[in-house]
Amino acid sequence: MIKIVITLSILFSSSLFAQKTYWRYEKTTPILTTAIDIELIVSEIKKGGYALLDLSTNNILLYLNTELLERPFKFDKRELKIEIVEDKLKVLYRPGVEDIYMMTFLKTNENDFIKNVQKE
Amino acid sequence: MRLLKYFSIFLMISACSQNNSINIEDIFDITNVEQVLRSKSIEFIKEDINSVPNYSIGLYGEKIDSTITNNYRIHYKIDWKKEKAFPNMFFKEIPFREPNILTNKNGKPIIVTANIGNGKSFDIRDLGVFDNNQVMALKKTLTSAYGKPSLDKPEENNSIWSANLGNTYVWEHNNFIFRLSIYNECFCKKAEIYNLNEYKEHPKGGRYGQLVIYNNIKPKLYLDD
Repeated sequence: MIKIVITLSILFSSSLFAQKTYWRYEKTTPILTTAIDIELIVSEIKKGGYALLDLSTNNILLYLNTELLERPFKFDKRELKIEIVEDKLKVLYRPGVEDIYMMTFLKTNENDFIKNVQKE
Repeated sequence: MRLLKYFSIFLMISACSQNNSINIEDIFDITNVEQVLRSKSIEFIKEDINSVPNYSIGLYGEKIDSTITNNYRIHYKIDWKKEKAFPNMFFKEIPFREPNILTNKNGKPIIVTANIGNGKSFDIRDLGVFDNNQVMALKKTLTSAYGKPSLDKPEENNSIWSANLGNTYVWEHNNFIFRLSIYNECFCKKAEIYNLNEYKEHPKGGRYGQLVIYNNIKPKLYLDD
C-alpha cells in the first residue's frame, strides 16, 4: 500500500462530520484517458485501499492498494482534488488536461480502517 | 402572470449556467482572462511562459513574443456527481480540447491554441463529445466567416507553416490570424493513439486538428532568423 497525504483546500461544514472520518476504496472511473502509462498505473489500483479524512489537521490520507506506484512515478498532490458527494468521498486525479480519473470511497467505521491499515 | 415570472426566472438561471463557458469569439474582448475564468468557475493551470515548451501548446518552431508572459491551460468542467467532464471553450458550437490562452502581463489574451476533434482511433468519442467531423465543421465555419483561406498548404509540402500537423489553412481577418492544421483530412491514416487491448489490428485513425488564433500579432518562426 502506498500512502498519500493531501491538505484540504475546501473546508467542509464541521457539523456534517466528526473530526475524523474513515472511507473504504470502491472504484476508479476513467473519465478521459490519453497517457497509456497513467492508464496502466490507475488500472492497477485494487480494492482494499482506505482514506482517512481528518478535519482537525485539514489533511486527507489516502492508502491505495497497489504495487505499481514505485519511483520514479509518484502522485503529485496538486493533481488531486477531493469532494464529498452523496455520502461518498470522491478523489479527482487529473495529471493532465486530457487525463481525468475519479476514485470513489465509501464511508466505513474506525475498526475496519484500523484493522486493515495498521497491519501494514 | 405568476407562471410567466417563474418561467423568466428559469430562463435567467439557464442562461447563467450556459455562461459558464467561453466562446472564443468573445475572448479577445477580455482585458483580464484570469478574472473571467474565476467568475465562470473555470479551472485552469497558470504557467510562466518560459516553462512551457512551444511544441506542447501547438506552436512548434515558433518564437513566442516577448510581450507574452503567461499561459493558462484550461481544465474541463467536472460533474462530480455524474463523474463526467465537459468542454467549456467553444468556437460557435465546436468544442475545444486542451485549450491554452497565452496572455501578456496584464492577463490580456494574445494567442489562443486548441485541438479539435478526435486524435484517437476512428470510433472513439471522448467525453461523448469529440468526433471526427468537428475539425471540418470548423474549417467550414472559418471559410464562411472570413472567405477562402489566404494560405492552403497540403501536408506533403512541409513548409514552416505546417510544421506541426497535416494540411494547413490560414485566414486573416482584421487583426486576427487563424491557422488550422488538419490531420487525416482524407480519412486514410491509421490511428496514432490506440489501446492494444482493444484492437487486434492497427485501427483506422480519427480526424483532428490544431487551431491557433493570433490577436494583433504575427507568428514568428525560428527559421526566419
